[in-house]
Amino acid sequence: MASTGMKQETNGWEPRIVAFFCNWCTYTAADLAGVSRLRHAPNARVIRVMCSGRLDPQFVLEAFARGADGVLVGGCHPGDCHYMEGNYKALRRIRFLQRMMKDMGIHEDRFHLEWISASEGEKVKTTINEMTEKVRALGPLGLPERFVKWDEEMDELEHTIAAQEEALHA
Amino acid sequence: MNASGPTGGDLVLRDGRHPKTVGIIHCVGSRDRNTNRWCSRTCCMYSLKLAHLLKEHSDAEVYNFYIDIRAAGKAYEEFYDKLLEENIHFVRGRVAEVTDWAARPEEEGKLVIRVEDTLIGVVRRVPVDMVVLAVGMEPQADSQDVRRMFNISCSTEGFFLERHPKLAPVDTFTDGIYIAGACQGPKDIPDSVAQAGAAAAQALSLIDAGEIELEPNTAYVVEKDCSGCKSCLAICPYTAITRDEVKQKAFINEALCKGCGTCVATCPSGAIRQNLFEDEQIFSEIDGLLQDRESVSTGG
Repeated sequence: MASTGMKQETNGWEPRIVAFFCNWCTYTAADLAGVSRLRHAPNARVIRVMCSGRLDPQFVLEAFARGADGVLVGGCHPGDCHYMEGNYKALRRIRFLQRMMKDMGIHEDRFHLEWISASEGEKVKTTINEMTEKVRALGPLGLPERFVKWDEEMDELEHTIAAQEEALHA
Repeated sequence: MNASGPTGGDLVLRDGRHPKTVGIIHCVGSRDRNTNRWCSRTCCMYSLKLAHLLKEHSDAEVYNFYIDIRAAGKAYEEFYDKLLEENIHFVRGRVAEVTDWAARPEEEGKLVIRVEDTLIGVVRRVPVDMVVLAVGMEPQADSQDVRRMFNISCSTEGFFLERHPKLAPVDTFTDGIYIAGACQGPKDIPDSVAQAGAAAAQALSLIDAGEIELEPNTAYVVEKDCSGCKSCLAICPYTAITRDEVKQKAFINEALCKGCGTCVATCPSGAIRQNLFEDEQIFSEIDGLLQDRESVSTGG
C-alpha cells in the first residue's frame, strides 16, 4: 500500500476506505473473515468502536477531510445490537448525514452503511470488495488537495479584493 | 398412557375403540429444509419410550417411521436395542403423507401412512388406527419478548445465544443473566438439569465475589462543558444517565453504563467522553490510517 501514494496521478491509485466496525458484530465478523482465510480488498482499514452508535458524524467528515475516498460503517443487524438499540441511533444519524454529504457533493456510494452480524465473515468480504470497486469507479475524492486549491483560490480572491480596494482608495 | 391420566392408562381412540396398529412418525418439522433445519434431539428417545409403553400397555402393533435413530446418551442405545427385540417395527424413511383414502379393502376406515422404506427400496402403504407425531422443538413464541427484557441475544433460529458454545455455555452477553435448558437449544431433561446446575453455580460465583467488575470503557460527563440539554437522557438504553437537578448537569452512573458510547456521539456540546474511546483517540486513528496518503498531498 505504501507505493499507492507515490502513483497518485497514475493508474496506480488505490481507493482508501476508512471502516468503522462495531465491536460485537461487524468487527467480530471481520475477525472471522480473517480466521476463515477469506481474501478481500486491502483498501478498507478498520477502526473499532464499541457500537455503531458511537459513530460521531464528525468521524466521517474528518475521514473524508483527511483524504479518505470512502467511509464504510458496519453494525449489528436491527434488533441484534449488543447495546439493544445503538444501531438504530446510528441509522438515524447516518441517514441524515448521507443527505448532507450528497448536498456537499460527495457521491452517496462513498459513504455506506451495512449490517453485518458476527457470523457473516463472507459478507465482510463482499461488502468491502463491492465498496472498493464502487469507489474505484468514482475515482479519488482528494479533499485535502482540493482544500489546498480552494485555499489558493481564496488567497487569490483576497489579493484581488485588496488590490481593488487599494485602487479605490488611491 | 399415563396411569393417572383421563383414560387411566388405557390406550383408546376418540371413538372408544382400542387401536390395533399405531404409527409413530419421527422428525415432524425437524431436519427439514422446508421447516426447521435442526434436529430436535429429544423426539427419538421419547418416541422410543412411547413405543415401549404402547407395547407394554396394549397388544397393538407399533410402527416407527424414522430418518435416523439418534440414541446418543447414557444407556440410550441399549434401550433402542431392547426395543428392536420387542417386535416393534422400525421403517427407515421419511413419511410422504398420511391419508384416509383406501386403495385396498383392508385399508378401509384406517389411516394409511405412505412412506418409502429406504432399507428395502420400496414405497409402502401402512394402514394404522392411530398416528402419533414427534413434533420438532421450537423456541417459545414469546422468546423475543423475553430476549428484549433481559437484553440477551438469539441465534437466527430464535434460541437464546450463549456467550461461547464451549467456554461459556450458560453465560449470556448480559452479565448476571444465565441460560439453561431448551431455551438455548433442543435439549432433554438430563442435559437441562446439568446445564441448570452450571448456571446456578455461575450465578453463585458472581454473588460470592461480593463485588462486580465494571466495563473499563464507560462514559463520563465533563461537567463544565455540559449545558444540561437532556439530549443524552433518552438515548441511553440502560437509563444510566440522569440529570442532576441542582447542578443542572447530566450524570452517568458508572455501574449501569455498559460503554456503548452512543451518548458520546449524541452530546451536542461534546461534554460526554468515553474512556478508551475518546474522540481524540479516534481522530488520531483516522489520521494514522490515512497517514501515507497525507504525506503525498503535503510533502509530495
